Amino acid sequence: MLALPPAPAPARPRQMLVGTALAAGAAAMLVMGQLAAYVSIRKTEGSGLTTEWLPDGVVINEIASNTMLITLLCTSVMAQWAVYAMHRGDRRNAGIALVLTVLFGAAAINAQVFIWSVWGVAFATVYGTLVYTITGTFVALLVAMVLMAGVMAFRSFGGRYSPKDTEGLSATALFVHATTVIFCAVWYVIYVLK
Amino acid sequence: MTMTETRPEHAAPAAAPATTRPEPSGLAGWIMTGDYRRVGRLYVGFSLVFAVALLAVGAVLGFEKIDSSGTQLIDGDAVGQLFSLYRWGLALGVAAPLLLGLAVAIVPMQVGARSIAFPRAAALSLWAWVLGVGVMVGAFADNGGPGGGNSEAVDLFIAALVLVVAALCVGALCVATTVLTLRAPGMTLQRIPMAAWSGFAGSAVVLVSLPVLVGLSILLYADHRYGRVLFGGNLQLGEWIDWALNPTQLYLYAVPALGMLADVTTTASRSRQPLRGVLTGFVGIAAIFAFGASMQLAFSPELRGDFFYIAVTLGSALAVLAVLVVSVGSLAARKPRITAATVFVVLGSFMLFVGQAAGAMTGYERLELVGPTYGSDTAWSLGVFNYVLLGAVLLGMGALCHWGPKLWGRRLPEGAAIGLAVIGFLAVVLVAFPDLVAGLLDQPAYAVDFDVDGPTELLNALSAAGYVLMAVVVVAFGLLMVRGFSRGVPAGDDPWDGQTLEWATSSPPPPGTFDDLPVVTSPEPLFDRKEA
Repeated sequence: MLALPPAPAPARPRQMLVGTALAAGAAAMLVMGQLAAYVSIRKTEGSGLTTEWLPDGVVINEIASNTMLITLLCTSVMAQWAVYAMHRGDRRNAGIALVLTVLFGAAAINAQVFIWSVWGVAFATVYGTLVYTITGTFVALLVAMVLMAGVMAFRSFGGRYSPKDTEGLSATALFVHATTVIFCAVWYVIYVLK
Repeated sequence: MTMTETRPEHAAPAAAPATTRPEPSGLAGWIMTGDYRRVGRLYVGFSLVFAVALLAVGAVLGFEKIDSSGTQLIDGDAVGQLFSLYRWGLALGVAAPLLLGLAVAIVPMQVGARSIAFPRAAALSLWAWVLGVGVMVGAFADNGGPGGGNSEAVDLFIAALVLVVAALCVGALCVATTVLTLRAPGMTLQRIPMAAWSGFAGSAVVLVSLPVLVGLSILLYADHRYGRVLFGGNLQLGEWIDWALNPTQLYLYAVPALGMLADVTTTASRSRQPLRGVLTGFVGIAAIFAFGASMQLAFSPELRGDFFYIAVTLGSALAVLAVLVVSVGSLAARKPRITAATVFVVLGSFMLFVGQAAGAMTGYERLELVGPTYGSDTAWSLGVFNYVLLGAVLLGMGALCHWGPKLWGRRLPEGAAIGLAVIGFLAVVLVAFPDLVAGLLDQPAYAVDFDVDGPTELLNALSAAGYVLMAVVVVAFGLLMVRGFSRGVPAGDDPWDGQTLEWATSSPPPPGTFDDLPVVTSPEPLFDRKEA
């Protein structure tokens, strides 16, 4: 075995942050692919597959969808607040920010469930299949975000993070930001363009 | 603050070797392993087993095509499903995981990491992939898959497809994260070995392309199971997911092989690669062009005849040709050591290039190789498919000849391996070239019952013989591996006079891979050491 000169200890690699960034990119492509299918099918209006767009009886509650968008923007602010607070050694505020991230995330899920309840369209229709599946996929992403923030809150309360090590919190904040950006696309395509 | 920053080269005292928990022994150790070397080897082993099974399916279909009047060996209704099984299986059950498994096993050593990033996730990706492929085969066996008659089995196929693709994405994420975060001190992105670079490039494009397939498959599943108003029935399933088997997407699965070609030939040349930057650039271009072209087809299949699509696809093929030319050219620099690995990777990458070039021509209108609707492709498409993926399998075998001694500690017999490389090359040509010719005669791609003028009987007989020969080559290579890596000549730590970090550790590497992390000052750290 050839003996190369030993190297000094490396700085702690930021695996979790980089891994989360890659996973967030993959999640974004997943939802964007579905949105592309939505737009592609919507474009065929009147061609036989979709004779009308939107179907009769569809109620899109724009107040709820806008509230959901604002709520998700708040989760981004809260998650970044947690990182900022931990950088300053303020565990108490970091913990509060993470708990608020979880609560805002849960509120966003609640808003989506409300939108489903008033949508007034059956699943077994072209429009229904598309919107329920796309928003359902996004809710799965939201649940993952809430779970991640919850775990980080527990780890934070347990003293896992310090001003010198905020990688987990930064990764969570990145995932929250990505989820918010993805919802911006979902919101624009499903609730604005319709 | 960037994700790709190089760690400080002179920072703290030497690190103590990583402490690793002993793994369970025996079968439990293999099943529960989080060791990247075992995970990579299991990926490779399962891929080769699946390859033999799928080549047998290909052979059966090949024999059915000889007599174009109908089916003799199988039920006529199963023909479409068997073609689907062969295509999905060879792409996501053999070629992509074979190269991913090699990347999992090789990349951490190449970049000087003690382990792969997220080792448990890598193990999860392996077993999820195995489970997914198993369920997919089960779904086909129960009359499922695209065109299947059993609705529940069709649903099962879609669910299995999601599982397989998600598993491969997780594996790709582990490889990409390893390259970005776990490089040895001093190893900038410009200094990483070519196999690690192409592993990263391939993983990155897989991570941005295959999730689209997952998203569409979720839509397909929801529609097929609960409404069937959106995408039609079982027969239309392929319209929305077949882009993942289009030539350009196939190139993405093969991208990791380009760096393996470059590394093997550079090592064989016994000199530094003077055009390293060119190789790095062309591997990236091949990946990006193929990704761009593939995404065009995902939602607009009619673009296949578009000039821009053909140009981008051809650009990707030319990038592969450039990698091939530069790599082979390096062999002429000094007296090279021609190994079995060299023969395998050069012949395999030539097949890859031919497949890519032929794939670029698929949309060329005057050749009339593509019909206006799904399923009306000529046999040309199948020829392209086989050239690319079986070429990638040859490249994978070459990588096993090269890095196998590092992973197992023993060498394969060179003479026998070179013989298999040449026979494997002939087998791929036999499988794929007749299909290209048959495509020009307008023989349909995925049918065994057709009426075409020309010597299709001879062409299909040659193709069927090629499938059998390729299956024999894979079986023989597997047996050679079992014998060579268990009872072969001990390899030593650096059997090929290597240039990159993996050859600085023992064969097989100890837990933690490196006792001491070396400082890297050039792309060829071992060469530096030997010249000093």
